[in-house]
Amino acid sequence: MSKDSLGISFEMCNFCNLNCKMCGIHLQNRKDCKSGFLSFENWKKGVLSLSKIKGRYIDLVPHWIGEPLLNLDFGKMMLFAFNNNENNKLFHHFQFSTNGLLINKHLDAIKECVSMKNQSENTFYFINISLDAYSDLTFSKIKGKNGLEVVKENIKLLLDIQQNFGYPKLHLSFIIMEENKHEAGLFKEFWVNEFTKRNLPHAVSCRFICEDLNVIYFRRLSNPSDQISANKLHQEIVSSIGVQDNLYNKYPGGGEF
Amino acid sequence: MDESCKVAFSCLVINESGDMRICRDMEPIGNIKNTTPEEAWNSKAATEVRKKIFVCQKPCKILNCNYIDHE
Repeated sequence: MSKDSLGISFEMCNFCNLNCKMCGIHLQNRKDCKSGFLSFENWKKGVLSLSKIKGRYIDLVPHWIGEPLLNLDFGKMMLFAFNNNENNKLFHHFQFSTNGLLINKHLDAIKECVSMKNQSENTFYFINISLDAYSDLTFSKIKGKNGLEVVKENIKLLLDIQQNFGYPKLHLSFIIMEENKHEAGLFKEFWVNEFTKRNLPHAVSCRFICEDLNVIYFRRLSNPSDQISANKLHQEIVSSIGVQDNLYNKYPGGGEF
Repeated sequence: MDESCKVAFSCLVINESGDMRICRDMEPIGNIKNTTPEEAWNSKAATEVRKKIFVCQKPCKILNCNYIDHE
């Protein structure tokens, strides 16, 4: 997010199909919150009104806390936004986070949006996919159920799109915790290999970076009850797998996405 | 490490029922059904929420919140 950018996030769905132990969804005050989806009408209204915001670069983020791809209208909503964004009059970048399980359900819409010619080629900028594991066992321990192989296959489908159209770039994230720290090195090796064999530009980082690159992103755990230990573990593990923290000077204020 | 919250001027969240918020733990500044994001962003309600954010000491650091991550 650059200095003059404004992120407009839409909560497409306020719940998730996984139960990740580190997810902020559990920390919300949701006593009065019913499970629900953003309607197509509210999406249309909100997206069209973005043209009235002047002087800011708009990052349209169809995601907040829940899993956005659970909204069955996600593809239709995305296509509506891109079809009305000629010359980027509504938004400059489109980016979201997902656990990756349902990407195949929306793949045609993603491909159609990425290939639109009437807006900047990097409009569909990136998709962050939360993996957090190298093995099925660790994935299910952290997320409450199996699904790693499905996510991996979906990532490969997105890489095929990227090879054809250049975008969306992928951020593959791995939040370092006690439960997965032993797999950080294998995770890095596996995904570096996937990007390398496709000749796709990529970086390995322990900070959020937002450039025209794929990123294998080792994140700190956000742990309000013991942030110091989480930070220490993050530092130890990224150092042990040879991830240099040399991006600090280049990206001094990289905010979390 | 600067982990101060940066949401006041950098993001607007519209939830599944159309409520617009700057911080998800604070009150809405409007609803998309009857207010545009621009009107909400520049409203008195938004100014009041920003005042609360500036003095907020809550260490929420929840995933997807836009706090600075550098040491």
